[in-house]
Amino acid sequence: MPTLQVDFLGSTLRNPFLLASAPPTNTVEMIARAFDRGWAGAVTKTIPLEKVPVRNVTPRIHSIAFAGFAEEARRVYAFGNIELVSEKHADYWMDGIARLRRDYPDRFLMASLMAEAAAEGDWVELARRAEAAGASAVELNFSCPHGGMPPHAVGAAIGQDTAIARRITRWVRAAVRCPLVVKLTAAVSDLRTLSQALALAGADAFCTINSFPVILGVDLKTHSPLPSVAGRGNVGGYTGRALKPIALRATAEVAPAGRPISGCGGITTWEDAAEFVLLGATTLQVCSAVMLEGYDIITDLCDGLLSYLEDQGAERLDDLRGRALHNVVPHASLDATARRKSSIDLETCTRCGKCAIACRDAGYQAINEAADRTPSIDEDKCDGCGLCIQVCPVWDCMVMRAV
Amino acid sequence: MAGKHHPPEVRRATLADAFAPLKLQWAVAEATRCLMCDDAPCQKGCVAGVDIKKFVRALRTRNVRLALSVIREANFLVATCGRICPQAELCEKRCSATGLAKPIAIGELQRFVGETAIRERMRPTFPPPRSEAQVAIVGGGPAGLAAAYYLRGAGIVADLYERRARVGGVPMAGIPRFRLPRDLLGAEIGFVAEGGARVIHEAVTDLGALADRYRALFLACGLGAPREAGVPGERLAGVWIADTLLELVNLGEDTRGGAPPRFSGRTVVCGGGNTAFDAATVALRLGSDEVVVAYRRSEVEMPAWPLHRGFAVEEGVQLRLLLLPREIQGEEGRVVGVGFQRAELGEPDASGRRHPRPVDGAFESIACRQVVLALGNHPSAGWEALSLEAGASGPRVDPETMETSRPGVFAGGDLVNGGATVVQAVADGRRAARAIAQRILDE
Ligand SMILES: Cc1cc2nc3c(=O)[nH]c(=O)nc-3n(C[C@H](O)[C@H](O)[C@H](O)COP(=O)(O)OP(=O)(O)OC[C@H]3O[C@@H](n4cnc5c(N)ncnc54)[C@H](O)[C@@H]3O)c2cc1C
Ligand SMILES: Cc1cc2nc3c(=O)[nH]c(=O)nc-3n(C[C@H](O)[C@H](O)[C@H](O)COP(=O)(O)O)c2cc1C
Ligand code: SF4
Repeated sequence: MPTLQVDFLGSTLRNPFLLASAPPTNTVEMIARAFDRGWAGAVTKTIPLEKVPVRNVTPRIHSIAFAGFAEEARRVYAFGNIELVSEKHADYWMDGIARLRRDYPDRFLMASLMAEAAAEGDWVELARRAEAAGASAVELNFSCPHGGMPPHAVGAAIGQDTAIARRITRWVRAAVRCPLVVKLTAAVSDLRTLSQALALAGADAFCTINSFPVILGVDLKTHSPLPSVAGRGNVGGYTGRALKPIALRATAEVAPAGRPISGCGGITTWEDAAEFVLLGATTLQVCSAVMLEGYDIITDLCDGLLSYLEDQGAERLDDLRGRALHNVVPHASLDATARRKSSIDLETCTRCGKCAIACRDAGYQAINEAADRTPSIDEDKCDGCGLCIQVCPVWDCMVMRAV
Repeated sequence: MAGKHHPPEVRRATLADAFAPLKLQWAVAEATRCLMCDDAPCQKGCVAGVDIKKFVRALRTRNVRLALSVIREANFLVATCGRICPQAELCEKRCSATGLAKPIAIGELQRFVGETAIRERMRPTFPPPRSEAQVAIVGGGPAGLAAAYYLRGAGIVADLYERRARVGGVPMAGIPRFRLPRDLLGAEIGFVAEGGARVIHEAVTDLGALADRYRALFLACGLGAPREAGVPGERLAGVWIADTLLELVNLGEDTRGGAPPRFSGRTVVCGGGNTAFDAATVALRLGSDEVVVAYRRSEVEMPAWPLHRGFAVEEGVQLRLLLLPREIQGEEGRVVGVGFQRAELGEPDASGRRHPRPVDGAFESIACRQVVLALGNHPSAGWEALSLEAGASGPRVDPETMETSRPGVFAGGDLVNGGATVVQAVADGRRAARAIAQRILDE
């Protein structure tokens, strides 16, 4: 019988899914409720020390959605947020971690931590208290795009400076024995060297990635960035489905550092989860999908991933881990002689002509439409770019065929 | 009954499947429209309590296997109910997406899951049997089969008594095969026998003896005999009782009852229930040039579901309202027409619907070559032998456990509700199975 059980940083998890440090882990009660639904673990909302005042603005979450037709539902494909770290401080969280540890001894409970870049004592204190409370590991938040605890420039400002990130990692490494995870931002030029440097400094694992810095939109009437706080906005964190490709790239880049990876960014379905595993992730963190649909998605994630294991003839996720990594190669190593041309299944084709427009105005003028609107591919002209297949609204109607 | 049907002019010419096949692409796109509401209202509309949100969500990621197991947990007749449930009156009626555009096609999504499961032979798995031959089920319709299925799921192998040569109850014998193909229903109810339940083809006449022999008894014998019209001419050739006609068309060939009859000219169907409209669409397919459904009240009072009516009307079935049948006219022993008295609507009667009041002297005849009577059924008889307390229709039962006033005797389906739906029968059977299993396994 295949199993979703994974070993991660010395713990055995019932499945690879953890709630990311974010609104779904806002309180101890919420985490307990998620554990009851079947989540294998959780990362607390990032914990600041008592002395740091945290006051959130409202509103602080915005989204981009497929607008569809007027009568259609909005379908969110990305969130942008300017939320700070937890408004609850270390005292609340350490007590809560101890309680969760007692009530759910088999779950993976990670304490997400943040302090000022130069405050060695603060980092050490937070990590020691988390370890003492019974955290399975600590996760250093080097990656919040809007700082996380203004007025201090922390979060991504740390993750974007290898020297500072390395120094803090060393401090924490020297202070505690529990596993140490660094949560990275992809808004850096080179994740490969950064992750290798941090591995040497003592990071036991990485979380790839936190939200990505963006301006989600601008209000056309008030000229305020979105979300708008009394007419003004700020660079926020991009999350959800749209973030996944960036997170996948980051996962593949961090894999060579040789440390286990907790993949994070846009995981919404079991298919997303499987992709992260194939690129080297051991555990998988989820936030936005839960913001959209609640803790119950855990059933779909687990059941779907388990079926995938069966389909692949694998017993454990370990058997599949990193299988796609060796297929990520430089462009020069791709086989330019493997030619493909587009083809259309006329049975499912709706005669909408979208492929013809795309090929005419952004391709090679290879799609002809008959008087009855039936499209056909002129194989001599088709250059095999694959654009038509992407714009076709019908699934599996157009495919690339070997010539 | 909502669904992707073949166009009326195509389907009315054949007894073959009226539903068009569904594709995975369609199912995923439709599932994606679902709003994933909190405390999903659709689920409250499903009398079997299918976790609709969960199965629709599974479909979004093409996880048909999960969708299937979610539905089967509450309703093992997956494809069957996807086809024949009146979703517009149940789950889809409450769908929040209705406010945006139109409800999610929950029934069609369920049909897709069920038909995929049959095509790909995705069988249910049962635990090893823990107990045998302690439970008897009387009646192999949806209620009885559901009890057998869910008892088997709890490890209990039951004895199922069915008087017909084929199990399946009304869905097998009455619901026309173009709405519910035989092999499809056969595959879904086949899981019960495959799971080990013993099917005994025998009409139970002595319920008392059975009650003494088994530790628990589930009565699921459905409704009684069809009602007659009580008008002259009922015995003429060409006059059919709807149940008889439907059963002949569905099962005649395999039970040696004979091939379906050929109709010609006009057929008049008397009645206004779902059976009347099934008989009407069958009459079309048997060769009638024209089919008229004559009902004694107005369209508002008609018990047939609007979509079921629409399905027939689309095929050309005509409606005549406020007509009371008074005589069936014959020549040389064969029917030639029906004489009606016109009616107008009076005060509401016991059913809450307005009563048809005959209009003095207003008579008319409709010439026809066939008459089909679809006037409902008598309540089932026989259970009185167990001296059970009576309810509104059939024995009174505890709605949670389906237990009658006699401990160990349970009842459900049309027998206790006076005629409802397949999904209600399944829900009753499952409830009874749960209560019976608890009792037997606790001891
Ligand atoms: C023409 C028609 C169309 C319908 N269309 C729909 C529809 O589209 N959708 C829907 O949801 N519902 C529909 N219904 C209603 C639905 O078929 C019933 O509600 C449902 O079949 C009830 O199931 P049941 O198990 O209680 O009874 P039944 O289906 O009546 O099954 C009872 C079984 O018990 C057997 N039996 C009876 N007495 C004995 C005995 N003494 N010994 C052994 N066996 C016995 C019978 O042979 C029968 O097989 C329709 C009904 C009719 C008549
Ligand atoms: C509103 C919001 C608040 C967040 N707060 C934190 C935080 O306090 N600490 C942290 O490490 N990440 C935080 N994140 C980032 C998430 O943990 C996660 O890395 C990111 O959302 C990407 O995953 P997703 O695409 O599944 O949402 C937050 C994300 C959102 C949307
Ligand atoms: S989700 Fe809406 S209702 Fe709930 S706290 Fe946020 S703004 Fe208020």
